[in-house]
Amino acid sequence: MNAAKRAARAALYAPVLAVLALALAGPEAVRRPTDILASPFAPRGGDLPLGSDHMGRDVWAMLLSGGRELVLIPVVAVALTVVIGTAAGMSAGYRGGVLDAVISRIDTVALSIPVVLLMLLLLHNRGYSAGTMIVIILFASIPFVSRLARAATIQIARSDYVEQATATGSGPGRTMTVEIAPGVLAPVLADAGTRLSVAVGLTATAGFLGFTDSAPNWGRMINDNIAGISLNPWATLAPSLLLVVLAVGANYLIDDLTRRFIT
Amino acid sequence: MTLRTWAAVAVRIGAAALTLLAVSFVLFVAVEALPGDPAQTVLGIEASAEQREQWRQEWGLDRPLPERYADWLFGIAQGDPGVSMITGQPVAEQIAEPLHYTTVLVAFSFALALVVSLACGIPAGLRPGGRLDRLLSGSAVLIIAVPQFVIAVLLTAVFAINLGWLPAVSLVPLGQTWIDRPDVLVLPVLTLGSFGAAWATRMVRAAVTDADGPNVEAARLAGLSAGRVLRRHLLPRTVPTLAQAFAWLLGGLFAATTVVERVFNYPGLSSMLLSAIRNHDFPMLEAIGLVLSLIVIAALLIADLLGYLFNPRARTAP
Repeated sequence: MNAAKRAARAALYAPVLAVLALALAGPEAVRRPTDILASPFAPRGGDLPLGSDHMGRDVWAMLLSGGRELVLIPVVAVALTVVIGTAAGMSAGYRGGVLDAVISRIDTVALSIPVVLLMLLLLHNRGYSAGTMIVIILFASIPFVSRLARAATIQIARSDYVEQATATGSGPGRTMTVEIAPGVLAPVLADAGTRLSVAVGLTATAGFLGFTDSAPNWGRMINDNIAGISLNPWATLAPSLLLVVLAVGANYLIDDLTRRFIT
Repeated sequence: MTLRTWAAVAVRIGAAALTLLAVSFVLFVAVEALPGDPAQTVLGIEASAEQREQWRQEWGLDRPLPERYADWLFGIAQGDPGVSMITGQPVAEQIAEPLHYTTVLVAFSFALALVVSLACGIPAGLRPGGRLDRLLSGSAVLIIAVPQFVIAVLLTAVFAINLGWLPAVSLVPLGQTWIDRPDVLVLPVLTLGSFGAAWATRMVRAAVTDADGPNVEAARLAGLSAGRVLRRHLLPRTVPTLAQAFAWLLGGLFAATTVVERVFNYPGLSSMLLSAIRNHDFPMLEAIGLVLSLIVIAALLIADLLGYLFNPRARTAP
């Protein structure tokens, strides 16, 4: 890799890593982000680097403490998605028959229910929690991964080297893990960046729709503060910008990492 | 079409019907498991426990879930999704207008996505890796990754609040329709359409790149003009893939309307959905959920059928 490319990559990564650090470490840096320090929508200046929000709280402190869940929930959910989706898709593709029919049908049913509709019902039903949010993301993303893994498995299982392995006495378990799994993981991980973006989007949307109590949350901040955008634009624009960098950056980061490790 | 093709089409339609049945069950259970008592919403907090119990009996809510599901399904099969628990009006009548509004929103967004994706995806796909391709593909990834509500909020900030050109809220005055106030559609359509356009651009680009094979190269080498090669040799080969992708997109846009409608207070199915959730209006919720799922399933079915009918190889596979 030449120097210009390296510099371009650093320029791309720097904001992503900065936002990740802010989201993860931020909650440790503030004690009480929800203290009311000023009048609503006060402009930036003095003690308030980004002004105040619709209730007169410090926007910068809210930003610091409102991003951790937006990183942790999607990362855990997508990791689970990759494991469960790959396992389901590979079993369906390799075993075929009834198992394949059942798994494929479950995927189709899950794909046919609008995710946001299900999210609204579940969040109303069970209230917002990390667990509920992870279940919703799993529901929305496993079908995609499972279909992808199934298609890849069927293709690889027909290849010469898998036939050779079977002919030389490799059992189904060994064939699946040693011969097929590496080839299936390539497309699954290439897709994981998109899944992570979607997961960040869903988690932020739950906040935006007002489900996350009063705990600071970037999605919720955007909804709360849009009414005062002409008074203090930072209260809306700052969380929007951070969300964009997080959602887009997560996608690029995963893409780049997988490309480097797989090829 | 041969008998075998007809049989395969029938199997796919049957499978879609089974999917719809399964979805209806999941929806019914998810809705009826909502906490909170619709009786309290309707009768108010002053109502005694006895009054509430009587109301629940009138609506049949004391019966076991499977029985209620069977009843509801029977009604749906006859085209009757029941009566709203809150207003007492037939659900079908009440969701007709919101459904119309949601359809209008999706139709315009779809048209926008179609035009933009063909205009951007074809030139990008003809020179994969070129400057234009990198610019367009990069923007597409960006737009897809950004949550819909952020795009909506940013568009509102610029066009409604800063410039004041367009309404931030899609309120249609009583007695008028969107035809009288087309400006209320602009921001919702831009939000939903930008996502559709970005997604479809990637699909068109991939289809064009895939279709640019030896046959097309041969036509070029034979000295045909670039336009003729494109029209007669390249684009026809993308039709099967693209027909499928756009059918998918149509379903996806319907499923994605909830957030956009909520941000702009657009008078579509989602505003109905949100108030139905707040009021625990079970029949209304179930009907809206079923309508949205039905549209998605129909779009998936059409995509599946198009893929099958356009692809001779799929027809010989089991």
